[in-house]
Order: sequence, then C-alpha cells, then structure tokens
Amino acid sequence: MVIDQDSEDTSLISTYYVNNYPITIDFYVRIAGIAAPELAAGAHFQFADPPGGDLGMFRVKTFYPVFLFFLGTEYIDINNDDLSVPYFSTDYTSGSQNFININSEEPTVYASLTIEQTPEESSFLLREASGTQAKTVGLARISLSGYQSTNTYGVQIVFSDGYASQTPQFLLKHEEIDTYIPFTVLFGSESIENGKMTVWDNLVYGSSNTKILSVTGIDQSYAQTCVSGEYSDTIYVTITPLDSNVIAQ
Amino acid sequence: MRRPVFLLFMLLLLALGGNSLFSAKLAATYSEEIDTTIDTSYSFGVGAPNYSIAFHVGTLTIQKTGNGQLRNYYGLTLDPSGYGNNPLTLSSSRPINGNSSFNAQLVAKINRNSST
Repeated sequence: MVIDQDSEDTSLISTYYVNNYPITIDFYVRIAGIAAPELAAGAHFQFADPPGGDLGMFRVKTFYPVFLFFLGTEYIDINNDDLSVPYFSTDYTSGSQNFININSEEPTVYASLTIEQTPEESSFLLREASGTQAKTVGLARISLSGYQSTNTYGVQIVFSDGYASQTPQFLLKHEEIDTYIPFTVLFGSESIENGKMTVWDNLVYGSSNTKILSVTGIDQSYAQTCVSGEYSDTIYVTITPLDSNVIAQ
Repeated sequence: MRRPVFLLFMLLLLALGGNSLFSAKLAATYSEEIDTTIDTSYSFGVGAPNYSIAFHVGTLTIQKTGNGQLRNYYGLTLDPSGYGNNPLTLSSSRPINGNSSFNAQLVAKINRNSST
C-alpha cells in the first residue's frame, strides 16, 4: 500500500471492524530504477532536498460508533504520549552525516598490475629518448577481477627509482661503473616524478585498462660525455586502491 | 409526540454513558529501523514492478492495553504531517546505471494478528 503523503489521510484498514490485535504496520521505502540490491551495494543514499525532503511525520486514527450512524474519531497514542511521530528520528536528508544503506559493502574487486615489455622495448639507444623524443619501453596494465561491477575504480601509483635518485628524475646506471644518466618516465601522456604519487582512475572491470610507459628527457649532450656502454634502471611500482572494496595484488 | 424525543434522549445517554464501559484502550509503539540495508522489495513483501529494491523504515504496533472491554473500532487511517513528499527522491553516493537520483515510494505492509 502506497502512503500518499500529499493527502490528508491514507486508509490502512478500511471501515471494517478492526480486531485481531496486535496490528503491525511496517513501513518501507521502495526505490525505482535499480534492478537488484547488488547494484546498490556500497552506495549510500539520502533524501534529496529539494525536492523530496524526508518522510515527515505521521499519526494514526481510528473510529468508533457514537450514536446511530455517527462515528467518533480517536487518535491512537504512540509511544505513550506522542500522537504524531517521525518515521525517522535519524536525519537522512541531503547534506546530513547519516546515510541509508550505510552497512552495505560493495563486494571485493581485485586490481592486478602488470608491466608488459616486448624484446624491442627492453633496450634502446639513448638518443631515441633524448630531449622531447619518447621511447616506448612497455605497457602498464591493471586488470580488475572479482566482483563484476559496472562501477569505475581508481588506484594511486608511485614509481620509485631503483638507484635511489634524490631528484624528480630517474637514473640510468652504467653496467660497470657508477655513472648515471637522468631520464623522465612518461605514463601515458603524463610525466611521472620519481617517488611522487599519481592517480590512475576510471578503471573498469576486465583487463582493458592500459597505459604506455615511455622514457624521455635524456640530455643527449650530457650523455655523450658519459662512458660508453649499457645503462639500465629498475623502477619499483607501488599501487594503493582508492576504493575501500578494492584490493591491490 | 414526547415519546420519540424521550427515546432519542435515552439512546444518546446510553451512547455517551457507554464510553465508560470500555476500560481497555488502544495504544501504539513505533520503532525506527536502524538497519536500512537495501534488499529486494519482494523479500520485504512490498514488491512492485520497477520498484525492485527497498529498505525498512520502521514498525508500528497497535495493541490493546489495560484490562476490560475494548470498544469496537472501525477502520484505521494514517494521517501524515510534516514535510514529506511522495514520490520521494533519493540521491546516491555514486552513480548506478548512470543515475544518481532515484524516485521512491513510501509504502506500508499491514499484519493483523499474523495475517498480512
């Protein structure tokens, strides 16, 4: 039975003789446009304002015979004294600190980071990444598994230089001696600083979340002064989920 | 001519005096639901097309109190007051199917001595 808040009265039991006490009336709010509770898992709700407000208050009345066909009205005491009580004492209106469905948790989603590298990407000439030139060295992929949700998620990522660079740039080290050549990492189109957090958001379920990793920013004139040979770096990646129901693997 | 008037007067007295015969009365308790976790409307017994999910608001229990006879009552009516609207609008903390605002209805399920 839908409660018509705009009308003065809603008949709960029509004018039949009321007996069979106790009578229990449970109130619910049912929501349109969401097909299953799983879709609302982890989503918290409030009564929008405006319009909508909250549920307001109510009182209950019944009728008794007085004389011939005349009926008297009796308001039923609720909780001893109050004739009119709020459906919710808790403030669930928009902007309050309280939320409906707060105990619901979204099922766990697992985020797994992999770095894919082809043989052609594993080594390159320094001049290929000098100045504004960028050399692709791999593909970062985050796969979301577990609960299949249509929601999007995000993670924080920190790239840290394996040679403990103290600057925003990363360091390539000569294979034998302590000679270093600074470089910059491009994460997609974003320039990454050593040890600084970046956000990867709008991640969707599955394995289609990818970003190209490139090396750029090598000062070629400086590199030419360095000892010839092979240079390399190891970069450590740390990911931290931004959503409480996401676990990074 | 005086007899019908007298009879009417006596009936009125009986009706008014009869009130004192009823020492029991109706009283209600209302408890707000703390756990507003959403479930299917059907599991709550308030299923309806397009309204697939719901949450519990509270429970009103009406019962006889006191000893003695309870007068006969006819009908039970809910009298809303305050600032509520129906249909309601709920906003969600994240989009669901691309929407963050949803229409909702306040509904009641009545149980009379264990019969819905």
